[in-house]
Amino acid sequence: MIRRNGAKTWKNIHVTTKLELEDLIDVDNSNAQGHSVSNYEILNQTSDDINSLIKEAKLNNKHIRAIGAAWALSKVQTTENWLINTKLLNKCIEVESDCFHVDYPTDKKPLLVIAQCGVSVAELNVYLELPKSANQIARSLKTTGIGAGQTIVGAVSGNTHGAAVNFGAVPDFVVAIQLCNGTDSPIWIERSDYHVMNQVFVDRVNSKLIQNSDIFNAVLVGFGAFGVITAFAIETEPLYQLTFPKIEEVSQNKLGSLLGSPDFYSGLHHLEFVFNPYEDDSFYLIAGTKVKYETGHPIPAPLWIITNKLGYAPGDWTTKILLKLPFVSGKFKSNVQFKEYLKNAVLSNVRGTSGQLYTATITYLEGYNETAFAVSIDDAITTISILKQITRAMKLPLVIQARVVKPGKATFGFTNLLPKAVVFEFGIVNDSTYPEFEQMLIDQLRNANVKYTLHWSKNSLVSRERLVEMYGQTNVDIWKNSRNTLFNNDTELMRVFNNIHLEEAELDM
Amino acid sequence: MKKYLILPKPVIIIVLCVLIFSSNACTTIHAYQVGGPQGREMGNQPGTEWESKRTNTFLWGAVRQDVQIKNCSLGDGSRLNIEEFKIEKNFGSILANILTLGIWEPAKISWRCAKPKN
Ligand SMILES: Cc1cc2nc3c(=O)[nH]c(=O)nc-3n(C[C@H](O)[C@H](O)[C@H](O)COP(=O)(O)OP(=O)(O)OC[C@H]3O[C@@H](n4cnc5c(N)ncnc54)[C@H](O)[C@@H]3O)c2cc1C
Repeated sequence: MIRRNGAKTWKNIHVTTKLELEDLIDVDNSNAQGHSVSNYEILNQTSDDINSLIKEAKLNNKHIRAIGAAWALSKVQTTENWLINTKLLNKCIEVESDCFHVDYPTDKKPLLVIAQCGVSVAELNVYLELPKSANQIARSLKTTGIGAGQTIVGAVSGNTHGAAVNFGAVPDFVVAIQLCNGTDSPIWIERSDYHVMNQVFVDRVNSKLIQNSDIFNAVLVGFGAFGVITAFAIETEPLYQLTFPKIEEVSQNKLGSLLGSPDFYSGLHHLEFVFNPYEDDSFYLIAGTKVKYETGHPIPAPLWIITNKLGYAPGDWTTKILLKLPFVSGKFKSNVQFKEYLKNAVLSNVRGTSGQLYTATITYLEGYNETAFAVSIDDAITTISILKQITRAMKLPLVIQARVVKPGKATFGFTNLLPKAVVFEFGIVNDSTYPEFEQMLIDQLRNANVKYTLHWSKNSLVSRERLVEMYGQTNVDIWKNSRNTLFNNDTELMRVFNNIHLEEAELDM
Repeated sequence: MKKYLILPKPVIIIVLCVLIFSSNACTTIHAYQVGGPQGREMGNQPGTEWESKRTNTFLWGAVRQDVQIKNCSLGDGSRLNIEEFKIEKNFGSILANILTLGIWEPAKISWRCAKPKN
């Protein structure tokens, strides 16, 4: 059902975006009859509700944006009119055997799940890893980010990634998309060369089938521009554990030679390194291997918990103030931060399931921004030098984390750099130094001929020139043509989903 | 002779009100659920966005203003749990409390509802 909460002042989780909304709208799975209904009826009610809102928005000249957990730090969720909260749409659905396409591999059928848009990664972990029914096998997500609070659609739409060096990022386990965009019926989208569901299923969810790889890959990382995604079909794996040895300190030479040798990382599931940019030759390697699930291992303590046993934690604005303290050098602040980081935020000497290891959920760091960009693994060492140089020149307090990801297929996948992408990321105070730092970084990467892509959910606005520089005109055209096709070239309908982020990148038409 | 600037009472009240209703939180207390089954941390998993209400306590608690939460329910009226809440006091509300010797204690209460069982 739809509940309209009226005009609201709204902020995202880290308070980097503040909006004056005309209406904050909750959509949930309850129904007016008050009785339980079938899974198909739930999916169909959701798509009817969402499509009716979109049609109303078109009629009234309003913009709509769907939000998940509001963890994105950039302007991707921005709207001034109607914001649709999808977090109450959190069902997971098993697919009946008569619904699979004949081409879909038999061994993958028990591993496929339909996830409604608002289910969080943490909810999915519990649903998959601890099945309630004896008919279901225990399963794991193929990869996730550090945290588990994002919704599945929010995470995919912003290209959330972990450090799955031989798998990819979160969008890479999605195999079908249900999209509502105000056209006649919901749309069920699959790749042209990877058929998952048959017409029986598509009819049950009242949808129109599109099998087109260009469109599928464009919608994956679409940051709400294609409409509201109501569900995904995702592929999982039989439950596994990851084991992490004690983190290892390595020199820059050693790091360079490890990153340059595929033999080193071909057997790994997770590859990451962290460093303090004020230290000359010290890097910490975090490398996790996939192992068979075994009971009897101690449950890992969650990472990134900044609250102590008595409940004490830095206040909402403390981190910002401490990082801006005058008369204390950036180097000193980085040293302190890095020590805490190694204590509280790295996977070291631990074994657990994906749902037990990637849990970071409780963080209230107002005014604190996270920024991230990717380069090819071949450019990782050059990038490290650039980052160190700029951080030192600007005297910034930073801790840098770098995670290695296999390239995927999303048209605007920022982790698509070959042969592997290395995503560098760091927390930075959200003030005027942040865009200055980002611009300096991009200028230096350009000077060094290092190709880069920015994280959609974490960086400042992307202009058209920057977009073309990152993804090439062909991909920009594919993305825009896919959007036009899905909206039947109805510009008024497309306008419903435009926002400042799309306009700046000239992706709005 | 020292000169003191004595503001008329209505001005002080207006200044206090502006401070209370406009400025950012000075102190914030968070209360939230943590934990999850077998080490799968489920903290910070709200189903709704922040909703908030200003509240006043008078005469050291002799008169209180309750916050009634109406949005923690689904469209059909069935109720959701509360995932978390926070109590915020800004500079103005702390000052009001001190200047009135605790007779007036304003605060802002915010909450997010939990998700429905999936
Ligand atoms: C504490 C923390 C940890 C993080 N860790 C990582 C990490 O490890 N790796 C990483 O890559 N990123 C990380 N991020 C960034 C985060 O993963 C992304 O911002 C992600 O996109 C957020 O998902 P969300 O559910 O909060 O979506 P939101 O922030 O609410 O939305 C993100 C985008 O998705 C769109 N969207 C949401 N739902 C729908 C829908 N149903 N239909 C259409 N569009 C929709 C929105 O319009 C918006 O454009 C982290 C962020 C935080 C705050």
